[in-house]
Amino acid sequence: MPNIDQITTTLSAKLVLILDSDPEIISSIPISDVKEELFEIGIDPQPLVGAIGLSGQSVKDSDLQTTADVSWETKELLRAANEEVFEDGVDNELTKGLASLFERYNDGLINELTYLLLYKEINEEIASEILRWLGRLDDPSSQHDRLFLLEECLRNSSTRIRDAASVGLASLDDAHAIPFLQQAIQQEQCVELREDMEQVLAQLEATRRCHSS
Amino acid sequence: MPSIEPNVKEAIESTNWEDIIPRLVLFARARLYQAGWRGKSVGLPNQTFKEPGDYVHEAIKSFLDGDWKWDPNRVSLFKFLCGVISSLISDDVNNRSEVKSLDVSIDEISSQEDSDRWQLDSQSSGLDFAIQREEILNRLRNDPLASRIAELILDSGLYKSSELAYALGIGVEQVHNAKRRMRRALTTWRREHKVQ
Repeated sequence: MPNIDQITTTLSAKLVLILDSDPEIISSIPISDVKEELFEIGIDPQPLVGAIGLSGQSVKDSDLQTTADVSWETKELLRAANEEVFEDGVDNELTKGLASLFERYNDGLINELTYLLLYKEINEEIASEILRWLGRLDDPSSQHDRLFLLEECLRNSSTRIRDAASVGLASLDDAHAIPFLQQAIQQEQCVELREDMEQVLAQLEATRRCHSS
Repeated sequence: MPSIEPNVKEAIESTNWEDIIPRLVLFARARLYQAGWRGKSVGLPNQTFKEPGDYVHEAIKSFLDGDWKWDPNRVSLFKFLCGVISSLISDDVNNRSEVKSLDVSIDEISSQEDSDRWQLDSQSSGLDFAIQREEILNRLRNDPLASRIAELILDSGLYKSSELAYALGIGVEQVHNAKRRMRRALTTWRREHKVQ
């Protein structure tokens, strides 16, 4: 029987191929990653560009996202934020930087932050600041994705992050989060945070009543 | 280049082909694989098997020759060419699956180019699949939406974003975003394993 690393890699490779059959997914992969993956499987696309007689131009296909840029810039911003001291309710370099990145990348930034918060270890204080910022952000088009991330972060193992997610949800004021908050309250061990969550829940229930009346 | 609309010409000229072509190759590779994975066989002997790059070449050439009409106002050139590639592969799959004596699956073809990666496809037992599946879901455990989508792809064969969105009762864009995270998580994971 093959070892577990081998077989898992195999099925994950299949799954990646299945995902790659969707142009929406392929178009969002950083081009450096695309080239690296092709190189790994022994394909060099460069001769193809030459064979077809097309030279690369500076303008990008409008559909291709600049994922590499947003990834790099977000990482740089978070790295710089390690030096920062955050104060409640006061704008800081991190939130200013996030606002600036959002102006340029919109959903690209939200996707990047979602990936980093769900899959990577981020300093708790920085993660909390990001979650509070996501809650405050006034942008209806990214509401679903921000809501999703904040709801998921209610289950985080860090009390601080759960607290920030709850604050973010209060700012977002979307009744969709009610069942997620109810579940989080049931499981919350920290009494103070549980009480805060109950206040947020009461606010969202009031919002729901307001919308339904 | 044949006579084409000025706006199409302008769009072609302003396209970054060095960016698009590698993506198209990756897409063609995935579609070729998928043609086998969905239960159809390409049914070609190795000597006549077309590489992903061949399909990209054929798609772009035939597009530039005016065989395919593209409306830049409706769809991006990248997506349009993905559609052309899909169509070319689909034609080949449908035509060649009739040649039963030459029935070679995509997995078997792939195993010859990368035996480590693909050999298990034909040999793995249900238990192997279950172990692999659990490992993948474990990797995605902090991202329940991506995890659920992976389950649907692996268990139910649903893979189109619209189908997944319907099954999950969410928007298509949410599915796209979750798929993007999943892909990134899985490729990062595979690279880490390789390094180890």
